[in-house]
Order: sequence, then C-alpha cells, then structure tokens
Amino acid sequence: MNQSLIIGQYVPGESVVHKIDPRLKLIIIFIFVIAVFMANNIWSYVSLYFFVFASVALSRIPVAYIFKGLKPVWWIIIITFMFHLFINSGGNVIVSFLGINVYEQGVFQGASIATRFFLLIILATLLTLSTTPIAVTDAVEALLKPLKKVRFPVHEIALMMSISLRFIPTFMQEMDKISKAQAARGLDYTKGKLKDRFKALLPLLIPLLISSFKRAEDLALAMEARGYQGEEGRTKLRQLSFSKIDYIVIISLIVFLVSFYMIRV
Amino acid sequence: MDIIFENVNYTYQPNTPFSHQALKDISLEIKSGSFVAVVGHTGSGKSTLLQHLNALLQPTSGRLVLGNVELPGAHHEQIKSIRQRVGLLFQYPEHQLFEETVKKELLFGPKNFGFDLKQVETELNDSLQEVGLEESVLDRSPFELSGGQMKRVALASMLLAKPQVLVLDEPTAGLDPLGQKKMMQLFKSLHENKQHTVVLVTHNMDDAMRYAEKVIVLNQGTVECVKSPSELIHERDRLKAIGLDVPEPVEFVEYMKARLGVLWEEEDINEQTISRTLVKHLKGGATS
Ligand SMILES: Nc1ncnc2c1ncn2[C@@H]1O[C@H](COP(=O)(O)OP(=O)(O)OP(=O)(O)O)[C@@H](O)[C@H]1O
Ligand SMILES: [Mg+2]
Repeated sequence: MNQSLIIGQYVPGESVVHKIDPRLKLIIIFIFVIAVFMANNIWSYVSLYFFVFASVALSRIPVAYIFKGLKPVWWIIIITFMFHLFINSGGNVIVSFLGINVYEQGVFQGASIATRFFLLIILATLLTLSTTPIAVTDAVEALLKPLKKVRFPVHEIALMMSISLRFIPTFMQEMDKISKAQAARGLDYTKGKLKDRFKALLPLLIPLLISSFKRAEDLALAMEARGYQGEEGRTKLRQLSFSKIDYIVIISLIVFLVSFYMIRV
Repeated sequence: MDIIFENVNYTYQPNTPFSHQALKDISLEIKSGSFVAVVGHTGSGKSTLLQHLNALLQPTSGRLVLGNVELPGAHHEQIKSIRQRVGLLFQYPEHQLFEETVKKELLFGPKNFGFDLKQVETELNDSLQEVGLEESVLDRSPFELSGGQMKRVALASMLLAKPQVLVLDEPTAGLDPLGQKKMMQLFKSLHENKQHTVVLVTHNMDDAMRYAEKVIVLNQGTVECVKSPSELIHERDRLKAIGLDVPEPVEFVEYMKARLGVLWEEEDINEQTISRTLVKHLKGGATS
C-alpha cells in the first residue's frame, strides 16, 4: 500500500542535500522549472540530467528507491512520449509501420517533454525525501511573507500545508489497517464487475473518512488546549539561516546556470 | 486445521530505507483444536504473526501451512477460503465499522463469504447474546456505540462467518474487568464446546496462563520459547529479562519464598497449592 507512493515521505539523513536551507531548495526548484523549459538542444538536456542526478547522488538516497516511488508516474511519462511521437510530423520520417509514420521532430519533441516531466518529478521527490514537511512549510511561509502586505493569509496556508503533509503517512497507515480489517472479513475488491468494485471501496472509504474527521477534531482540540490563537504574537522555534553549505550551493548553482545558458543555442 | 510455520521471515517495506524485519526465522506449530496464547513485549511481532494466520501477510521467505493451503503461492480462491476459516479480530474495531446499522454490519462478513443471509439472520439474536449485547442494538448505527460495544459487534460479525480458528489481537483491551472476564469465558467455551482453535494475543499474563494450553513467547521477532503455563512459571527471570510481566500468583510465591521463608515444594501454582503450602508453613511455625 504505502510502498508505491513515496512522495511526501521524509528519509532522515545527514547529507549535504539534507542540510541545504529549505528556502534555498524551493528557490532552486523554481529556477530549475524555468531552466527545464529553456533547454533547447541535446547538450542542455544532458546538463539538466547531470544536475538532477548529481543532486540525487549527493543526497545518498538510493536511486532505486526514488525510481520505485515513481511507478505511478511512469505511465504518464510514457503516454506523453507516445502522444508526441505519433502526432508531430516535422522533419524526416524515421520509421513507419502499420501505415503510421514516425518523424524526427516527433521523437525529439516526445523525448524532451517526457524528459522535462521526468526531471521535475525526480527533483520534487528529492525535495520531499530530503526535507522534513515542517521545514518545507517554514520555507513556504518565509518566501511568501511579502504577500502578507496584501492580506494574503500566509500563516494559515502554511499551517494547513504542514498539517496535511504531516498526516499523509498516517493516512496511508490507516488505509492499510482498514483494508486489512475488511479483507479479513472477506471483502474483495480485485474481482468482479466495475460497479461491484466501486461498491467494494465504500467499506474502506467510510472508516477512513470517519477516522480523519475524528483526528481533525482531536487535533483542533489539542491545539486550542495549548493556547493556539493564530499567528498573532507567535514566535518561531526554528529560525532559518544560511550556512556555509548554502553559500557553496549558491555559487555552484550560479556556475551551473551560466554554463547551461552558454550550452543552449 | 493445523498451522505450521517453517523458518518464516517477514520484512516490512523491503528494499527501502524503512525496511524492517519483523519476524525472524519463526518455526512453530499450532495444532487443530488447541488454545494458544502469544505474548511478547510491544513491537515484538505479535500482530505481524497473527496477520500471517489468515494470509493478510505472506512470508517474505520460508513456508507457512494453513490446513491444506500453503503460503506463499496459494491462489485467490484458496486465500478467500482461508479468510473464512480463520477469523481475525483486530486490535481496533473502529477500523472496520462502516454500515448504517449494526445488523448490516453483522451480515457483511457472511455476505462476502457467500452465506445464505436468510439463515444467518435467524442466528443474529443468539450471536448477540453470546457476545453480551442487547437485541436493541441491531437497528442502531455502529458509530453511536461505545468502544466496548464496537468490539463486541466486531466479534459477533466474525463469529457469524463460522470460522474454525479464532485469531484474537488483544480482544479484551479497553473492556471493563467484568467484561474482560466474560469475554475470556466466551473464548474458553467456544474452544471447549465447539472445538475451535484459539490463538490469543494478550498483554495479560494471568489470562495467558489461565486459559492457554501453550504460550508462545516472542522477543524482537524471534520465538523465545513455546511452553505450557506450568512450565512457564519457572521461567520468571527469563520473562523479566525480555520485558514481560509474570502472573500475580507467581510473583506471590516468589514473595513468600524470599520474604516469609516459605518452603515451596509444589509443581503447579494455583489457589490450591498456594493455600496448601501456606497452611503447611503456618502449622510448621506453630509446632516449632
Ligand atoms: N506497516 C509497517 N511498516 C513498517 N514496520 C512495521 C509495520 N507494522 C509494524 N511494523 C514494525 O514491526 C514490528 C512488529 O510490529 P507488530 O505490530 O507485529 O508488534 P506487536 O508485537 O503487535 O506490538 P503491540 O504489542 O504494540 O501491538 C514493530 O517494530 C513495528 O514497528
Ligand atoms: Mg499488536
């Protein structure tokens, strides 16, 4: 159950990647998104691959583990690739079978879109695997601070985010327990007509919903009991500050971006 | 049906940074019609072991024989028949209640296993009585019930599916003392009158010693020992070493020996042997 979806599951570690300031990590991802869409030849893509896999290597999180977590996404990547392969008709025909022509441009387009998707997902997964959810929300709150001027509820949004992230693994465990309890009572949602299978989801969803509501209620009560009253007068337990690693990362990032820009045509 | 574990290992989330081996080289046998208790410190693998008994988990390596079915490698139909023959009562019943009424809740298991629901409905009242619930709960929503009542509903729903093996994960936790005793009596009578095999996980050593024929002691995923209650009372130090309680009577006898200087010559420890020894000791004290 919780073995195929790993996004949102923090893997504790002591690596350089773990130690980078979460604000910097978010900024890097943001820059990377732009860079991915600016890549326009083979070598610029190669350098993006290099960037991503160097980050993965530095994080010391097993590549196999990250790939396993991508299972649900593989299909989307493959379908995207196929889609472009068959509808784009620029350049020369490379192969043709069953009356369908595959063009040069189609291959390049398909490959580059799939690559963009793939790299973004890996980097985003890496972020969640190497950063505690709390750190991510702290960073979001810090980066969005300017929006407070226009009365955007930054603190509340950040709090909601951190609570949701915190409860993803709990939710998964709960789901696992419930589906086991119902399987023990003979529930079988792997067989039968589609309609029956949907019906078989009810015994899973209802207990899950009920326990989530109960959890939310308990949490709200516990927060109130400890005097939570929104942002007013609240100080931070964890102060974010840049360290030596962050400056080194920034310099490497600049070097990378400059060379990336030069490689492009 | 006999249950045989042969060198069973089980690892949660294998090949990930979170992988955790919860069962290590487990070999044991649970004879058809026996009453065994599984005890162990928290996290020792009791629940993991239990979930193997109705194929919710399958050995990562090793072999598990459940009657005429062998795991791993059983096909879908065989697993479904195992789920019917082995009833598993979970630690937290609120994880499984979902219907609008208790009645529907009770019929859920039998329906899944393809029972004749007309027939099952005639048995509802008896089974409610068996687990200690009023008939009036039938039309109530299961979510309005107290924790103890939910547990009883879950138990009744399991019993209605007519399992041969009852697997119970801390069934009495959260019940009042009288309720605990009654529920244990129910398991005992199911065992004695209907020849059900009972596998009971409990933190209560007194219960384990009183009701079980064999006690399986787990320690950090391995079988520490399998002993009958009368053998186990001599293992006080070993049990303490792995973080387990010793039953009160055993503690009492130890106390008599150490503090009162009582000479203990009996094999078993129960009310009779204790009072006999005390009488002997007091008489001896009077004459000397
Ligand atoms: N889904 C899971 N993923 C990873 N590890 C798990 C999972 N479930 C249990 N474990 C681990 O396996 C070990 C055995 O767990 P198990 O639930 O069998 O213990 P237990 O003896 O039933 O404990 P308790 O008395 O607290 O119920 C524990 O160390 C636990 O952390
Ligand atoms: Mg347990």
